Amino acid sequence: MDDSAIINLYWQRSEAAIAATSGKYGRYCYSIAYRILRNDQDAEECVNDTYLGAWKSIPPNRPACLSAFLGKITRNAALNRCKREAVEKRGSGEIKLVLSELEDCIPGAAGMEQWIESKALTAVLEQFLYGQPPMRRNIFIRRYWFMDSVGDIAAAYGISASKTASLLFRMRKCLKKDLEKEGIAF
Amino acid sequence: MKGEDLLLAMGGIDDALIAGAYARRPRRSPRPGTVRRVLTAACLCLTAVLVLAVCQLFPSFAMTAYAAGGEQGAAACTLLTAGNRVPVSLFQTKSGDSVFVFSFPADDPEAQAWTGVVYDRPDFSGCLESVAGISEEKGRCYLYYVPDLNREPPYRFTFYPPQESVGSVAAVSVTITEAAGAYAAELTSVSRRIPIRKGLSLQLPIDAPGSP
Repeated sequence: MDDSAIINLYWQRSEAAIAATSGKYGRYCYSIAYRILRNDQDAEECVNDTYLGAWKSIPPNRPACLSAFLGKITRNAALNRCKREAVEKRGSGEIKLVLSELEDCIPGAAGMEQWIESKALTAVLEQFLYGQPPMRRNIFIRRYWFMDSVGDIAAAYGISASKTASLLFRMRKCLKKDLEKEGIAF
Repeated sequence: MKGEDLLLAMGGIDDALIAGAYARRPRRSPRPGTVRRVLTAACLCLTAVLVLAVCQLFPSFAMTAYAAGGEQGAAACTLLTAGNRVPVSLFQTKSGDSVFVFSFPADDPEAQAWTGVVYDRPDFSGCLESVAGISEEKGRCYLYYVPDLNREPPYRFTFYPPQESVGSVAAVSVTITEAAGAYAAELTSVSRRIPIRKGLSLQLPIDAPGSP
């Protein structure tokens, strides 16, 4: 079933929309949640939260890209769950690694007390990502949006893990410069 | 947590960027060395298949050649395999014919001895009486070759040992040479197997170049 047909089912308030979403994007949502939480049960619950979230938000929304829409709901749900339940204390999951890596590219400038609005930060991120060649961009997104492990990304792109890690390192450095240029500091 | 803000901000990026990264997720390329391992395994498999095919088509065939000089008047037996020259002797039948004697295992080890004659001598009667020194055993096929002694060696003949159990038959060629009055036999070729219908093999005639 194509995405527009699934979205129509949501608009018709048909429960078949959930089954269709689960059939087409169940694994995708689960993998996003699992990579953040590293726990089967939590990931499953997150996926169910995603279906509920989609049910609540369509309508009024009519997402242009259902996979990204569902992925965002799953990712936010997983991150919220992670925060709420302090899953990182279990000592697993990519989130700890990802967070420690992203710490590097936050400018350590003096004006740290100013809280940057998330939208402004997102805008800089988008600008940075659109300025990258597709492969580098996708690798960055896979690491920091999908939270794939470095090893998985390396295997998927047929490059070594060390090359992937150094590419990500260079990209983080570039991002840091961009953020500094935009005057974003924490 | 500083990194957390960036991580949450990442969540808000364009759908197109997310969809692009999701859509372009390439298939896992083989790990380094995997291609070599797969190729090696494929080569080994291919070699094994070829060896099996060659064995099937060109089966090894071994027969026993008989020579005079065994113990207590019995013939001496030597295994005759391809590329291996072994001594053979002319044996006399009661009717005065001179024959070379060979044998090979029958399909059924319990079957009665099976006898075939290959002859080159044009005046051979076709009847062969018992051969001095040869006692036919159960479960073996005996092949008597009657050469045309008016011709000079080497003598060559081909026969088709039936192998009903595998549903095929192969042509086996033997060459007998003479040196200093002593004969030696050599298995010169074993052809590829020719499939036959079950039950037909025993009716296959022994090759008889001199027969009408």
